[in-house]
Amino acid sequence: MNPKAEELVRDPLFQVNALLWLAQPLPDEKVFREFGVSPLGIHPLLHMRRFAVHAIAPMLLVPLDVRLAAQNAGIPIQEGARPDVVLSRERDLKFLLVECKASSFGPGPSKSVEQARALMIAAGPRASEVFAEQVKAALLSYELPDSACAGMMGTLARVAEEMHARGLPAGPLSTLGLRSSETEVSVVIDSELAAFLGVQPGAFKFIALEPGDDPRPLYFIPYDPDAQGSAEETAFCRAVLFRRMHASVVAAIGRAFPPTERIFEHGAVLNDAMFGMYGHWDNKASAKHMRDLFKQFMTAIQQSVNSELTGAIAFEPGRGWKVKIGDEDAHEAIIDALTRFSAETLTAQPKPPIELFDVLEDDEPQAPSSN
Amino acid sequence: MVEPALGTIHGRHDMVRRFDGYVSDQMEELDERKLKRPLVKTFLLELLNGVRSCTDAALKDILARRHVSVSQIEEGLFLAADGSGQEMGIVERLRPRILALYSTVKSAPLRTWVTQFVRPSPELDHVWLSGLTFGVLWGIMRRLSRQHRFTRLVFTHESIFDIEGQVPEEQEEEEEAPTPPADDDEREIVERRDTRVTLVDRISEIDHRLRNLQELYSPFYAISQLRFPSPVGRGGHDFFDDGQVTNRSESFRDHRSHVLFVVRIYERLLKSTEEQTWYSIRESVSAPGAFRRIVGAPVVIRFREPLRPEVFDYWVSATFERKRGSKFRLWGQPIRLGPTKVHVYGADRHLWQPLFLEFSAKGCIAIVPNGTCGNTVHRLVTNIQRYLDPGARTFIGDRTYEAVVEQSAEGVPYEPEG
Repeated sequence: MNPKAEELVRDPLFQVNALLWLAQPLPDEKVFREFGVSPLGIHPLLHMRRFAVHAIAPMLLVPLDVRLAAQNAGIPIQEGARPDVVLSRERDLKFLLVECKASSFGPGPSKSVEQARALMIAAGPRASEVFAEQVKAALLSYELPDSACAGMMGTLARVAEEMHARGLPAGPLSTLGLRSSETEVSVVIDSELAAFLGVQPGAFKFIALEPGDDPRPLYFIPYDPDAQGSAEETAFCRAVLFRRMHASVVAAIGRAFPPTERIFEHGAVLNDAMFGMYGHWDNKASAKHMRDLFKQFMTAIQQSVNSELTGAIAFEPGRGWKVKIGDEDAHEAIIDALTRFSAETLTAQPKPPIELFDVLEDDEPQAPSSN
Repeated sequence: MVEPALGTIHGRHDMVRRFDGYVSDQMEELDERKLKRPLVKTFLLELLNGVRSCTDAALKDILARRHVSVSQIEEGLFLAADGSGQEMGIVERLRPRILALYSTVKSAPLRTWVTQFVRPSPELDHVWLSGLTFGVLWGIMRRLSRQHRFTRLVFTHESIFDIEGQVPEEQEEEEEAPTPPADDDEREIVERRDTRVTLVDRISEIDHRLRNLQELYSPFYAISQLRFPSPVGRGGHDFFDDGQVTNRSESFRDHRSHVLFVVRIYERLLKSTEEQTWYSIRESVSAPGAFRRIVGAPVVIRFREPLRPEVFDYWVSATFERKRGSKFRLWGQPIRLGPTKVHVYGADRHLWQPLFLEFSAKGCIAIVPNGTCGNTVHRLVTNIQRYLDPGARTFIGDRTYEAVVEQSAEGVPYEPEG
C-alpha cells in the first residue's frame, strides 16, 4: 500500500484533478509500446469513452415546481447545487454529474443530503431543463474512496427511494471509487456507471505509481477553499497556488518593457493562477479567502523585493501592487529578485554565485560550421 | 564578385536580384574551392504575438528595443544594422509570425549578433525545428527530390546532464565552447554520450538505411540539420534546428522559396500546437455564463530509456537552480514528489510565458496555459532530443507530434525556382 496514495484518494482536490486527468486527450498505452518509449502511466478512461469536461462546478438550479413539490412533501432540498465536474459525450448527449466526497454520509437530515437531492433532480428526467440544453441521458456519480462506495450507495438509494415515493423526479445514481495499491491508483466503476460509459464494471488503472513517488499529477485546479482536505494537502495546494501566482507575476514582469509600471490586482492574478476559475466563484467567503491569500503572497513579495530594491513594489489602495521599472538595469534587478523569491517559504533566496557558464550561455552562441 | 550592397537595395525584387548575383558568383568560387566571401545565410525568427496587427512600425520598435536599427525599404522589408551602425542584413517579414534575416556576414559574428538580440527579447525567438520535425521534413524532401541527388543530414546529441560523479561548472561551460581544442593535454576525460554525425549521401541510400540506423542507435533520431537539394542545380539549402538556413545553391530565389516553404509549415505548426494545447476555461456557447469547461491538451514527452537518478537530478538542478537557467531556458521552483519526479509551476524564461511541467525519469508532461507561445513547446522538444534523449517521442494530446507536423505540411505549396 502506498500511504500517500491511500491518503490522497480521500482528498477532494485530488479527486477533482484525477477526474479531469481521466478526461484528458492522452494516447492509449499501446501507442507508447508501439513507439518503444516509456508509457505515461495515466490511463484516461473517460476520454477513451469520448467523455469530455463539460463544466466545472456549474450551478444547477432545481426547477421551481420541483422545489415547491419538495416543500409540500416536507423534503428539504437545496435550491441548486454545484457538482464538482460535469462531463458529457457529444455523440449521444450523455451527461455525467460527479460530486467528490472524502467519505460517505448517512441518510439523516444534513446539508449533504439536501445537496444530493438537488443533484439527483439535475440528473433526472428534468435534466434538459436544468442544463438548458438537450440531455438524452444523465447519471449522478459520487467519487470517493472505494471503501466508502457501498455505504454511499446505500444512503443514496434511500434518499432516492424517498424522493420517488413523493413523486420527485430523481435520476439514476452510481459511484466512482478510488482505490490505491502499491503500484497504482485505480478507479472502481459500479454497474450503473459501467453501463453508462459502455465498459465492464470493475477496477481500471488511473495512474501507475513509481516506488517512492507521490502519486499526484499536475493539478489543473490547484486550490479550493471549500474543499475539506487534510492539513498537509491544504498546505501543498496553497504552495501550488502560490507558485502559480508567482509564475503569473514573474511572467508579466519579464514581458514588460522599461520604462513602465505593472499593477497586480487580485482578480487578474488569481484568474491567471486558476485558469480563470476565480472570476466565477460565487461563494463570497471563499472569494475573500482567496483574496486574503493573494494579499499575503503579494505582501511577502513586496517585502522581499523591496529589501533589495527600495521602493520597487508599492501598494496603492484601490489599485493593487505597483511595480515600477525605470530602465533595463532595474528590469533585470527586479526579475532577479522576483525569481529568487521563494513561493514555498515566502522569503528571498540567496543569490547564486555568478557562473562562467551563465555568462557564456547568454553571450556566446554555438557556432555551426558554415562560413 | 557582385556585392549585394545592402544599403542601396530598393525593393524585394531588387533584393532577390542582388543576392542572386552574389550567390551565382559564389558558386564559381565553390567550384574552384576558393570561397572568398561568406555564404548567404538566413536566420528565421519568430515574432511573438506576430499577428497581422503588428505593424511595420511596431516591428521596428521591437528590433530597436534590442538595439537593432532598421530602416524600411518597403512594406515588410528592412535594412538591418547593429548598434554601431554596421549593415548586417535584410529583414523580411515572410509571414505574419516569421521574420527572415538574410545576410552575407560571416557565420560566427552573425550568430553572435543574432543570439545577442534574440536571447534577451521576450518578443523574438528562433524558429525551432526539432529532430521530430526534421524527421517529417526529411520525408517531404525525399518525396519532392530526385532520388539520386545528394543530401546532407547532421545528427547532434550531447548528453550534457549525463556525467559521472560531481561535475564542476567549468566542464559544462567547456562543452559550450564552439570549437574545443583538438589536442589539449590538460583536458579531462569526460565519459558521456556526445554524438555529432554528418551524413552525406544520395537520398535513396539514406532513405534505405535511416530507419535501421535509428533503431540501432537512437542519436540518429536527433536530426539537427537537413539539406534540401536545390532543383535548379548542384548544392542545396541547409536548415539548422535553431532556424538558420545556409544557402549552398546557385540561386537565392530558390533559397528563399525553400525558406518560405518550411516557414509556412512551421507557422501552421505553431497555430496547430497552440489551438490544441492552450488550456483555458471556456464558457459554453449554448449557455454563456452558466457552464465553463476546461479545454486544452497536455504535451507528453516520453523517453526511450529512463534517465538514471543522478542524471535526472543534474538536469533538474542545472535547469532550475542556475542564475539564468540553462539550455532549457525555464524558470520555476520545483516541488519534489519523489526520487525522480518533480512538478514545476513556472515559466519559459525566454518568452516569459507561464508553463506547468512534470518531469520524471521517464519523460515530461507540459500544461500550456492559454497565450503561451507554441514555440515554447518546440524549443522544449528540440532540447530534450538534443540533450536528454534523442529517441524521445512527443504527443500533443492523443496525437503524435509527427502527425501534427504532417498535417501542418498538408497542402503547403512547394514552388522551387527552376
